[in-house]
Amino acid sequence: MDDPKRVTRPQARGYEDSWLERGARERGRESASRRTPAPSGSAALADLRALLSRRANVRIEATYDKVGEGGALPTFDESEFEGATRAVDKAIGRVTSTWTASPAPPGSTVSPLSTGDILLPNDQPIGYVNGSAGPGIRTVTLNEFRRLQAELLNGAQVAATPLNYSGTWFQRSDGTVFGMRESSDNGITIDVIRSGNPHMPPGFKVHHE
Amino acid sequence: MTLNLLSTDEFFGKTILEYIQAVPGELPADAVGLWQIIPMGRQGFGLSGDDLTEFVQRCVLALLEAGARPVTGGAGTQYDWILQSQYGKAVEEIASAVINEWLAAGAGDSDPGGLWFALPSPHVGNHP
Repeated sequence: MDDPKRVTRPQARGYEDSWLERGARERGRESASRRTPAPSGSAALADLRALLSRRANVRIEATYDKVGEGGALPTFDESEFEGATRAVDKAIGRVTSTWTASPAPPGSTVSPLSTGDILLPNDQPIGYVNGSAGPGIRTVTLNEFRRLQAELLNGAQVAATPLNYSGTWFQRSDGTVFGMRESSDNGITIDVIRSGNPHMPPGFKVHHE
Repeated sequence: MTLNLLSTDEFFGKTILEYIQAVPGELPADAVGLWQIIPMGRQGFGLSGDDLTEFVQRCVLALLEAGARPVTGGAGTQYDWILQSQYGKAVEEIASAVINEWLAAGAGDSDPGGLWFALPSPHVGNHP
């Protein structure tokens, strides 16, 4: 979809290139220093499958099997990532982007938790503030992040997502709209886009370590 | 100027001044979107009209002065973000252009498909 406001002015090109080039040099050095080992992509998918089957009661068996056995999703080259941690998050992103999460099976007593119960337990924001971020930008461990993903996706439906958003939006039964956004440096981030919970701060985000 | 920089938000008890000073703090980890700033001004601090406009402008200036530049999501490209250079070069020029565009569009809440601000990075590309 073309947006005339997005046209780049030719006279700005030199400025753009110097800002981008400076950033590429500076941030590239910073990224290289943050490499951390992590499980391989296939192991991460197995962990995610076990976690979701055990805790979230989400019907992903058919979708996961399609993903794990050469299904229609595009493959990715793990070697293009600096650390295996990004491969894990990319794998989770590939899986979650295909989900059409369904409600708990008939007869099940497990109902989706409210978004407030998941992200604001006891009315306190989940996780902690990392570095100089504001209080509404939270960080949790990777294991806790996977649990949050599973709980948020329980009963959620895929929602219309802006074309330039690097991820997928979902809507929960309580009306909350959240996004799971992939980035090269951070893996997956949870963006809380809309919420009817009066205690949910605007612009609430959750990163993982 | 009628914006009371010492007003506190109803979520964390931070003042407007503290929020503006802290908003660039996220940049080393992630881009910051107008979808985060505008509703914080409206819902968090109860601002509207000229006060809300001034709040958003001050936040945008803080991000720009920290070295960030306007970007949009890079889905479908090799980048996380795409630089939006149509707002100009100088910090004040960019801030004014961003605010004027927001006001012309009705000064509503943005969403993550809209404008963000990111530091220079290998993951920020030029508009294709």
